[in-house]
This record gives sequence, structure tokens and C-alpha cells, in this order.
Amino acid sequence: MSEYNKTDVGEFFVEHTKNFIKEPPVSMWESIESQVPKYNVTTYNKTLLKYLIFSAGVSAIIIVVVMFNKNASNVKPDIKSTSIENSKIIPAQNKINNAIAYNKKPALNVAEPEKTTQTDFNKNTLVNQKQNINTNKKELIKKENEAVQLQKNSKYSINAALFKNVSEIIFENYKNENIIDVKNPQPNAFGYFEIDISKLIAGNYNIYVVSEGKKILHKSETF
Amino acid sequence: MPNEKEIILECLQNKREAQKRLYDMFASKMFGVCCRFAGKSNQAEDILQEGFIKVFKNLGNFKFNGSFEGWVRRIITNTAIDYIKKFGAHYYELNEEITEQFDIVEDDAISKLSAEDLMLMIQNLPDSKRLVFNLYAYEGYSHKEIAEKLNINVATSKSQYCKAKKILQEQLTNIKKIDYERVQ
Repeated sequence: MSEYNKTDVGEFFVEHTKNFIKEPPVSMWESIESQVPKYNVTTYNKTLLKYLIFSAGVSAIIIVVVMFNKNASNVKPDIKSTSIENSKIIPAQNKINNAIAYNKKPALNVAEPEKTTQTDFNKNTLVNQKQNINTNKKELIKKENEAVQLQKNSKYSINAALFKNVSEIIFENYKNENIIDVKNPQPNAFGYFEIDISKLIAGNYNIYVVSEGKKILHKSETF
Repeated sequence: MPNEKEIILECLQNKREAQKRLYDMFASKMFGVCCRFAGKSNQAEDILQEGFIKVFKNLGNFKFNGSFEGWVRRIITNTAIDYIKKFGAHYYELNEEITEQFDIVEDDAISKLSAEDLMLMIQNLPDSKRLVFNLYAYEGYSHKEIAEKLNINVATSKSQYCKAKKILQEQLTNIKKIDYERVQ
């Protein structure tokens, strides 16, 4: 009989009931569910959001530093990567065009784009801009030359059927100077007047046709 | 099958299915805890409901540093304490030194008792004694912690625990007696 062990009452109860489980009523969840709060989802994504903002900030700084270094070193100037806005390049391009049109002498003054950039940039940036503008100028001159080259041996066609008794075809530049003046033009086999524009300098031209004694503006073209 | 952490995160994204799954994971275990603390079955239901609402309200504060079950259990236990403090007849007699040992011999009559039978005995304890007995024996609180939690002194906590054991011992002895008489 003495084989039964004495146990502390507390320990006995703990040992026999510590894993006691009981199913709560089925309706319990319904009561709880109605009182579960709506969580603010963004609150729990705060950490992720912080990381994203931080990463974006660091990336932006790195990009700015890389761009700055690239401009400063100017090892391989690239028109596409220039920091000068297109609106500032266009006046330079126009100056080049005008210079070529009149004097065949580039009239670009690098000081002028400086005025447009003004105080937003420091001295280093201005130096970089000058370099970029020079590069742009060279590129544009190169393109002009290519365009001129392309224009060589090219011809401009005007449909002869559009006009009667054509006595003259005139190419006027914007100073109203006759650059090309073809007297009594003859249409080709296909019914077009062909005007040789291979020697025409790049620029804007008004093309007039003198028909039945009247000078008629045919088109304004840029070559 | 998503793990516990994934379920918690889904709960925080207001996914009802995940919230139900989380409840199902712990409901029966926690209801067992509630039954031990409660005097009557409907009290256990109230404690469980209130406890789980607190769990969901504070879910965003869980830092995934320790056991989630432990965290839930602590909330349920605190809810039970608050509930008994609020609704229970918890009065504490003046502390008196009890040096008796309350042992039980696990004979055939005792070993026949199921967990439900033993749970009923605990539930029949007076509120204050049941509360101290649960906190000390099951939840691992020290008498000092119990004293602080219930705003009583350490000696009172000790005496309440001993008195609870004494009552339980008497109940077990009665069962033995009944069983013995039945056999005779």
C-alpha cells in the first residue's frame, strides 16, 4: 500500500490540469470579431517606408555627385547628358545658323549663355557649361556641314501644273535677297520644275514663283 | 500554411480570415486558462472575450521578440485578474502563519479523477484563494509579485495559497472517503 507517493496538493493540481483545454462556444468569435479594431495599414509599413525614402534620398545624392564629377572631368562630353536646358541651347543654335548663313563665321558668343544661367550655378558649373556649349557648338557645326553635304547635288521640285506661264522662280532669304533666281524654268518629263539647291546655304527661304507676271509665294522652307 | 508571424501580419492588414485563424490557434488553450481563473463558466467566457479583444487591440504593439502565446496568455491572465477584482468576492483575511504541509496520496480514487473534475474543484475555491492559487501555482508569479499585483502583503498571499491548498486537499479527501464507502 505504501507504494503510493505523497505529492503536494498544488503540484498535483498543476500536473493534472496545466494542459487543460476547452472549446469556447462557437458564438464567441462573432462577439470578438465585431470588436476587432481596424488597423491603419500604413502605420505598420512605416519602417519599410522609412527605408524607401532613405534609399531614394541616398540614390539621388549619388546620382547628383556622379553627374557633377562627370561634368567636371569632361572626359567625354555628351550632348545628351548636358545639364543646360534645351531652351538655352536653341539660341546658340540660331546664332550658329545665322553666322553660317551670312558670314560663314560662327558668331557664337559663349558669354551669352552665361547670362541665362546667371547666379544659379557656381563658377565651376559655369566653366562646365562653357565647355558643354563649345561641345554643342562643334556638334552643331558638324551637323550643319553634314546637312550642307547632303544638300549638294540635291534638287528642289515644284509641281508645274500648279502655275501657268511661269517666267521665274526665286529663292529669297529672310533679308529679301534673291539667292536663287531661275528665269524661264522648264518642267521635266514628270511635270516638275527642278531647281538646283546644292549651293544653297542653310537657312530659311521664301520660294516665289512668277506666274503670268505675278510674284506668288509658293512656300517657305528651311534648308 | 502561413506561420504565426505571417498570420499576425495579415491580421494587421485587416484580413478577417487571418484574425479568425489566430483566434482558433489559441482559443481553446486560453479558454482552459480562463476556466481555471473563473468561478463559473459564463465568467470564463467573459474573460476570454475581453481578453481576445485586448489581444487584437494591442496586436500592433507585439514586437516579435518573445513567444506570442506567452504574450497572449499574459493578456488573458491580466484580464482575469481585473475581472475578479471587479466582479469577484475577493476579500483577504488577515494574514496568519500556516506552516502545515498539504500533501495528497495519489491512490486509485484520486487517479480516477479527470482534469474536468479537478478543474471543478479549483473553480469552487473562493475568488481570492483561487486567484492567488492560479497566479502562484500555474502562472509562476512569486508571492511578492502577487502581493504587488493584488495590492496585498506577501504574507497574505502566502496564507491565501495555503488555504486554497487546504480546501483542495479536503475535497480530495472527501472523494477518497466516498469512493471507499462505495467499495465497502
